[in-house]
Amino acid sequence: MIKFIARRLLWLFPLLLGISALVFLLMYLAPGDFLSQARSSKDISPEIVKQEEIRLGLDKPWYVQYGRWLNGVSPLKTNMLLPDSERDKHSLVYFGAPDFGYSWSYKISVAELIGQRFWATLALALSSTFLIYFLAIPLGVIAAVRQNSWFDKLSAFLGYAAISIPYFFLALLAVLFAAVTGILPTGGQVSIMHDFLPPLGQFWDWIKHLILPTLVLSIGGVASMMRLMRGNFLDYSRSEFVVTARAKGASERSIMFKHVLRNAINPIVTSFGFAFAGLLSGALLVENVMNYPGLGQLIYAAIVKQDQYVVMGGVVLACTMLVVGQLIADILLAATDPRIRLENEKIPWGPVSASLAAVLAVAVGLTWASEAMPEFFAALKSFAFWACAAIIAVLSALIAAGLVWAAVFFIKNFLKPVLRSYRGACALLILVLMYAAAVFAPFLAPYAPTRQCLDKSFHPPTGLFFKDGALYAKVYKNVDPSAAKYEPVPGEGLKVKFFFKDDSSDFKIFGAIPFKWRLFGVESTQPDARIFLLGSDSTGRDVFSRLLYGARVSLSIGFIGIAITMVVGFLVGGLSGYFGGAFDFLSMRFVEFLMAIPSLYLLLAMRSVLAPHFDSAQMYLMIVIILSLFGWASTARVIRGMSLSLASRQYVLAAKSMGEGAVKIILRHFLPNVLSYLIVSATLSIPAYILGEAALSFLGLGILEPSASWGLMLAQAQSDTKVLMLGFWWLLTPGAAIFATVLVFNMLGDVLRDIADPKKDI
Amino acid sequence: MSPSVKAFALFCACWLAAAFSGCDRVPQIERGKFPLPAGVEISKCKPGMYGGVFVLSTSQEPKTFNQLMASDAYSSEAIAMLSAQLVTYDPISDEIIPALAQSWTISEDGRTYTFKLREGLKFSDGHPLTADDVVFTFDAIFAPQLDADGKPKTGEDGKVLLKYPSRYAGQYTIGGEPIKYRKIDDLTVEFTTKKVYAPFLNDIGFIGIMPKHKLAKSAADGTLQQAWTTQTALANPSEIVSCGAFEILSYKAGERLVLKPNPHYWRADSKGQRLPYIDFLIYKYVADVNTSTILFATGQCDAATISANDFAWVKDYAQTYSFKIYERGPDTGIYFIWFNQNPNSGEDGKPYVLPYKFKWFSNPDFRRAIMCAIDRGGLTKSVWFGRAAKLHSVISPANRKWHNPNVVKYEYDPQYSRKLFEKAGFKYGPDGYLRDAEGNRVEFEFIVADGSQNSTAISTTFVENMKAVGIDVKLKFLDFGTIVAKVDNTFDYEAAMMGFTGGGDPSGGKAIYRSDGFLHLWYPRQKSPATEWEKEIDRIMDAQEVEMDPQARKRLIFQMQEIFARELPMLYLVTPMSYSGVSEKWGNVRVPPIGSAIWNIDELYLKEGGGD
Repeated sequence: MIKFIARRLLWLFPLLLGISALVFLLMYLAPGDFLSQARSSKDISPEIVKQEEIRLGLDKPWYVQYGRWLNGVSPLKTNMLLPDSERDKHSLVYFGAPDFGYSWSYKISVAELIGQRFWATLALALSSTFLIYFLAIPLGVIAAVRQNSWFDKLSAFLGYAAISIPYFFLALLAVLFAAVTGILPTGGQVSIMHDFLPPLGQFWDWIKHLILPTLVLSIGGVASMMRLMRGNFLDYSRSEFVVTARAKGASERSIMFKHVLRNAINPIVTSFGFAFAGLLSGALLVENVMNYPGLGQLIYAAIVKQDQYVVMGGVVLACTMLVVGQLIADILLAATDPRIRLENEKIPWGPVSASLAAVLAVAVGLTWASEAMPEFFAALKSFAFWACAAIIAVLSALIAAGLVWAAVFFIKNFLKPVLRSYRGACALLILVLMYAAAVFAPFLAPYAPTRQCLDKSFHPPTGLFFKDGALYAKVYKNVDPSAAKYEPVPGEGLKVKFFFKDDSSDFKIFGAIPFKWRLFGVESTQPDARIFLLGSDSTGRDVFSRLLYGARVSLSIGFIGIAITMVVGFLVGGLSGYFGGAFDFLSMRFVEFLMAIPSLYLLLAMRSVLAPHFDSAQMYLMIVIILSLFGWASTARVIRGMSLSLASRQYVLAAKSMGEGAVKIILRHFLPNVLSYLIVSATLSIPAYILGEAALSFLGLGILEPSASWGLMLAQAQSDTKVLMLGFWWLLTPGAAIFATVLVFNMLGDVLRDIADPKKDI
Repeated sequence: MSPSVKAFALFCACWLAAAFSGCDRVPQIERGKFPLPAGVEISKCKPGMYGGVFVLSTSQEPKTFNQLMASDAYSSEAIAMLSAQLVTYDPISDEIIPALAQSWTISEDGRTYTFKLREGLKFSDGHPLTADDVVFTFDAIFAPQLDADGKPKTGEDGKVLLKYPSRYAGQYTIGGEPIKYRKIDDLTVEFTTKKVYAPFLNDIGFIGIMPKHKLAKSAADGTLQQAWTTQTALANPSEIVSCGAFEILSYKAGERLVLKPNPHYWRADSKGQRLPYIDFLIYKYVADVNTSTILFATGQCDAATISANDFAWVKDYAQTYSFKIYERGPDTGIYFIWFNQNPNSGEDGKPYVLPYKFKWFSNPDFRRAIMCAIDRGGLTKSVWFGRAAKLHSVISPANRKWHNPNVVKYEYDPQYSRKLFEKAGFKYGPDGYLRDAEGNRVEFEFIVADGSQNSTAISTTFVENMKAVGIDVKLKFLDFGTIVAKVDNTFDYEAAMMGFTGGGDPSGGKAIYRSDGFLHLWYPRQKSPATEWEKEIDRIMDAQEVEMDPQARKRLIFQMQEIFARELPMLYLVTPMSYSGVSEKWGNVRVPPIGSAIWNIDELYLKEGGGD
């Protein structure tokens, strides 16, 4: 046990080293630096900026800066890396307390700064985790015990709803609720009068402030944990030992609590560590909207301002928490389930050290080449560019093939059973309609998504009426331009025309054949006559049209992302399961490495590195790729496990002994066996991509104007308070669209899971 | 129920009752402990009563309480409550008025200023404030870095390297030399500038006087930068001594800063009550600007700036939560689009701007034609519901003293814009696209800092407007740091949008106006002026600095604005109206046309029946 813990903690060091170097490099590559703001203010002279640059060490290359940081953190230091002025004060090698550097904007040490905020975040994470387990376990058990009762159905529906709402949107609604009703505080950790309260009052005040953020943060967790608990409980309540116990005459109560619950709770306990660590670093959005003074807010601000040591401190902390969380989970699991032993894998030292050395050599070589041989480096860069392009081309071909294969497989094996189930048929139909709407957006939308009408901003949805057998759209007048209040002009209407030609349309079928027809529009000689089925936005663009165009981004982002994730996950997982040994060890460590990276922060950093090189449309692809870069790791882990067991099956061994190659075996024998799993898990993870895009757009890091996406539209509606306060509800329709899509995907995924694994009746 | 459950329920009930009964009883601050200083300033305000808690919310917390280190508005705002300057600016009378200095004299040649401090001034810890502190403050600003031999170190350009680099060193370097200062006696300090410098009185009010008795040690051992951080405020707030109206009571990172009255403050009312009246001034940090506005609108804050965007709904709450919204007129900032006119080439020999595009961008007629195609009126109507004004000059109309209302104005007229293009040698093809004389299609990339809803609305409208006159604009959102790097360093962009905060004396905009300025965005740091009109601007900026006659100086500044409007290096956009809301429960509220609405926070008092 102790050896196991020690080994896990030891693994933390290479992990932290790799992640910190990566984050540091990314921050260095991102344009601008901490002094950008100073450079653009008119009362700070360039000389001062220059001096500051030297003082902060920003004039040095990144590896020197990183070396200085490492030197500070490590207890064993060398004076070689100190600035000139301090070098003589220390000997060549000396011991010192670990120093995480200091915050440039707060002018205090990072340790102190993080210490100021840590407890707030810890309190929130603890209370949320507590609430999740406190609610999810009993609810899940009740739902399982009373399977198919109204409680079960209601909780299933509420559960779907809870995991389909974007976090930040929920947080926003919570703030609004608090502000309008005044029951709970709108944000912060304590009220401003906190200092003047008696001790008990202070405590109560603190609890009151914790309620809303805890609710918002844990609602999704409660929902998914509850469903997991219910599924496990049902599973075990049908197992043989339960039947045996019943036959032996044990009371129902003791069967449920002694036998079923004990077993069913295991995986839930395991996830505790993950959940806790995730909450600790994942509360950024909630902290931001609800103004909770935690670490997420601090680190986000630090990334934006490029206050690099704070970012590094935050990343190290988040990473450590994750590994420790994992460790706690493993220990808990071993404690609750005597069958599980914490075994030590044998480390294949040879290949590990060889590959580590190779990575190090390449890194050092590249850094050196970028300095010493700029021409060679430039050539290398263009070579790398083409190599990357080639890899991407191959990968996209693979992904396309994978998609087609999966589609065929789906139609062959899943379509009928799905259509047979009422829920499945509904979900599938809605999805097909949605995707069709996205594909034919230029035909269905009455206007181009960028077309403005500055005279008609925040126009409400146009009413329709019938007259003389024709459909008319009401005409509105802006009665109060100072608050955008529109009222219909009685009796006036514009005739709605169907299927007409619009020369302003630049739609081309398959990007080649021009198609200038639109489904509907209004007949009028005035250029400003519009029909706004879902109202207009702040520059008078048609929300309905933007919603349709936005669907193209939001709906495809999940598909492409999941395709990448599944293909890469399958390849890596399948290969490492097939080969085992050193390859398995290395790839699994790499997977762990990826999973330990605080992804939101890395996303932020990568986004700012890449943004200048891509325009809005390409950024869309960039985001999918970044999102799926993290997604494949967990798939790979599961697939590896499945392939490991497949690899020892008779028919695989037979194929092997007959001399079939690895690729053939993986495609022929592994893939058909795991494809069901892949399809189910893909359907269930698509929502994560849709919500991820929305969250990124909310932080201003997703799709950018003038393109449209649901996340972007929702983020814009939320950043404009008057949308909520003046009741421009139609601007929240993208939120409804996200909600509906995610809900439908979850439903379909559940149906698919039932079909693929009939034993698991969830 | 089992007994244990009952006991638990009982415990909970008791606990809740106890928690609620401890309602927020705000303690009173003890007043009148110390006598007023001999040189006390008697305020002309209506005498009020002591007490009350004033709550403000800001979107960021201060990063430091050390004004030499402060580089952001939020730190400066907090520090302003904790310090005082020799002189200060009265936004109502638009004059420089005495603060720590009771009076001053200016020598015949206009280069020497002698300030007389008030008698009996004390810092909040009771330590006297004298000329030594003034001298110490300037010593700290100009302290040089020393090498091993104790000689000042110089940088590559021969200039002395500062130990504590701050903006003040630049601001107090006049005519290429630091101002000279010396103590005459305990209450008198003398400043001398190298040449006549008209805005000196204005500028001397930038810096608050720092306490020598607290900071001398860290200034000497080189740790002044680490003095008075947020950690000091958190752990040891009384270390941060104040000569302003307030001192720190407590600070909680990321949450709030609570200030209490400085018991040694040097202002009092006509009844002899020492100001300020307010017992507690609380800054609450609310990262999300929208939340902060909602807080004010629902009566949870006492004052707030209301953006033109929010005014439309906030006003509906004024009755319910009894606050008043003051219309402050246009914002002091300017917002504009510009084209890169840098004619130089990068290290790789590639010109920053493609030569044929450079030809467009440097053609004033091209810029005028673009200007006429921007629908600023439509933007005002749609985005701000009419609560914004078109900008016409490089100085915002909010800066009433210096704004020239009679510059050339460009109104939205796409027809006229097309004519202007054709006049400048551009042609429209049958496909409707604009081409230059050599047949190149007119298109450019337009970079904008991502983030605000307004910049998104403006930039997308700009793209649509350009489309209407046959120009393709590729919109690209980048983060602010990237834009600064492009504009300031790599120069690889075509068109961009930005804003500057404004207000104050126009010489503060030197870096923008002068051709060698580093914020002369379209072509910064010119060795010699690239055009005749830029040369003329340089001349005007030099002349106004030594012009002591206010009227003549104003004429020069007006002339500069005319040139800017004519040549149009910056295409001005709109400036939203600004609004300030203040709760009705406070007395003595006098909202000036520009600047903070509660600039006289030390005079505000809780009206009778206004408390709760």
